[in-house]
Amino acid sequence: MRGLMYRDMKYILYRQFLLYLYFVGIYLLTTFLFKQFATEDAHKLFPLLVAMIGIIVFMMMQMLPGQLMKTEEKKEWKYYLIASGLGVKKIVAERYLMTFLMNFWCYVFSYLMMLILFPLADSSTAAQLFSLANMVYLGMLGFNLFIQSFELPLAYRYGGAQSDKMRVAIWLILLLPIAIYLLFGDIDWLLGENGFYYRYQEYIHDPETLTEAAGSYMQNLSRIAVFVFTLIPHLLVLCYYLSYKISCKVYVKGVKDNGFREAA
Amino acid sequence: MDSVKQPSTAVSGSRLSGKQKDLMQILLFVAIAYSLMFIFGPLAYSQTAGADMKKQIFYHLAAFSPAIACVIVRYAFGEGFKDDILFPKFGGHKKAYLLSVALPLLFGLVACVLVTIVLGAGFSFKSEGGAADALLNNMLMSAQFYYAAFILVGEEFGWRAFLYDKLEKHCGLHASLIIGGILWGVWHLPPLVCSGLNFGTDAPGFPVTNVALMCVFCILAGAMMQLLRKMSDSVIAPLIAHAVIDTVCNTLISLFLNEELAEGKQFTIGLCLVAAIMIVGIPCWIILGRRKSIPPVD
Repeated sequence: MRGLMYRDMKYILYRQFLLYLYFVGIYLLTTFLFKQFATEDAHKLFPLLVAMIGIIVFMMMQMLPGQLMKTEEKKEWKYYLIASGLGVKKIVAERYLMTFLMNFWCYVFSYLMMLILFPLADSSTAAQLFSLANMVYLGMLGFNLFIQSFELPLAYRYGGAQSDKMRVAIWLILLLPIAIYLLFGDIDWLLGENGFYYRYQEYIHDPETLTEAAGSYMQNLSRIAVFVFTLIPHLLVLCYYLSYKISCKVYVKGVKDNGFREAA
Repeated sequence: MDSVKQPSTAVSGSRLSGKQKDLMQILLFVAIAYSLMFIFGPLAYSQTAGADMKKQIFYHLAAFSPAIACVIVRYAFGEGFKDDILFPKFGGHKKAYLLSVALPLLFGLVACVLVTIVLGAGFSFKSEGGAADALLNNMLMSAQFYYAAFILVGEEFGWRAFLYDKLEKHCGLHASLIIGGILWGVWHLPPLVCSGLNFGTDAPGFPVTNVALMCVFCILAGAMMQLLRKMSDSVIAPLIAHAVIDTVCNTLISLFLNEELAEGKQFTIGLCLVAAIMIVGIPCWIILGRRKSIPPVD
């Protein structure tokens, strides 16, 4: 298992290093420009930078585990793994562990990027904003793990090459009802005069209002809502575990039906 | 034929015997873990130190100091992570994992009963919102279990995955539990002094009493953790147990107490915690003594 983890880490480190550099470069450039040319009200632009970190990290969380599934395309490799005596459970467990670790690393990465931004902050509001952003990033981590707990068994059953298509399909299933609702439903709460969109315009330029609104929203949550929120992490762990169990069951069938042989 | 290359390490070059090497490893480990904790701990736990974000960084550096020390020492002595006690091994160790939740919960319940009796609180819900509110608080803490587990990786990967085993090899099981517990307890000095961890700041003979009681607590909790670690052959079981103690057990007491009853009585509550860990930890120590221990080196 350690050997497999080492192999995956090496693969990720070499192949994804440029991706990290690219994202960090864009982020550092934006922060530098922000610091150089911002006016006295510069701290009001923090929500934009925090949102930018969110987008970068979300993209990374989506891309990295998908890349890993493509490392096991060859049938020979899959048969070799099965014959190695490691056992299907350990082979699958390693992939689940690595997927979790990579998502977690992306979360830590977001934290590190916030650290770069923090010295530019000058008010306690900025600190509150960061803790709010931290919660959002944690939510993103949970959401990605939830999506991947669906994606991984499908990828094991129908092959690594199909995993990208699977991801698109899952996103379509998730987004289609939302798109239909946005097109045909009542969206005054979103785009109306007092809708979320216009309030968001206000929030994005005023961190104080944003943190106040978030704070009052959290305080006004009902007991049932808090109870549901507290259940989410436990349900997520259960979902991930069930996904692992399903992947173990479909692994061998997936190896027989999918994958390609290398040309002699 | 080429001779087989020996792994080149910083320290393995010096011809140390097994016992000397273990001793050097232990000393280096303690020096790194303590120095990181004693530098960053006061900054993290003091009431007036800087902005929240900086405090968080200091807190994480202090909390992860044993794990950092473990990684440095393992690589400095060319040991690496060949033993796979860092990985969870659920197969064949289900009993250990069940105990990793059951034992801390038992400790929490015993502490809860003791605190309620000692403070004369009576076994009725004291939370302002009644039973529902108290249970909701416990649910909230259970959701924080995962974050606590992440933070406690820092401790368990140092103490259980390194120090206790080295000490046991060097000086036997019982001495390892006592010395390990004292080292683990004294490591908590910054939070004990700065924020009155577990025993408050108004204890008689503060902070010496607090440190001594923390050492007793850690010796007995160490016996429980080490039993779980050996039963599961992994540090994940003690990690779960530690996280359950730090989250759910800490709020169980709030079922029967409110702020009014608990105000100014943190030391009494702390003593009840020590009594509760005695009830749970001593049987664990006895069971651990009956198991086959790691043979001493040389």
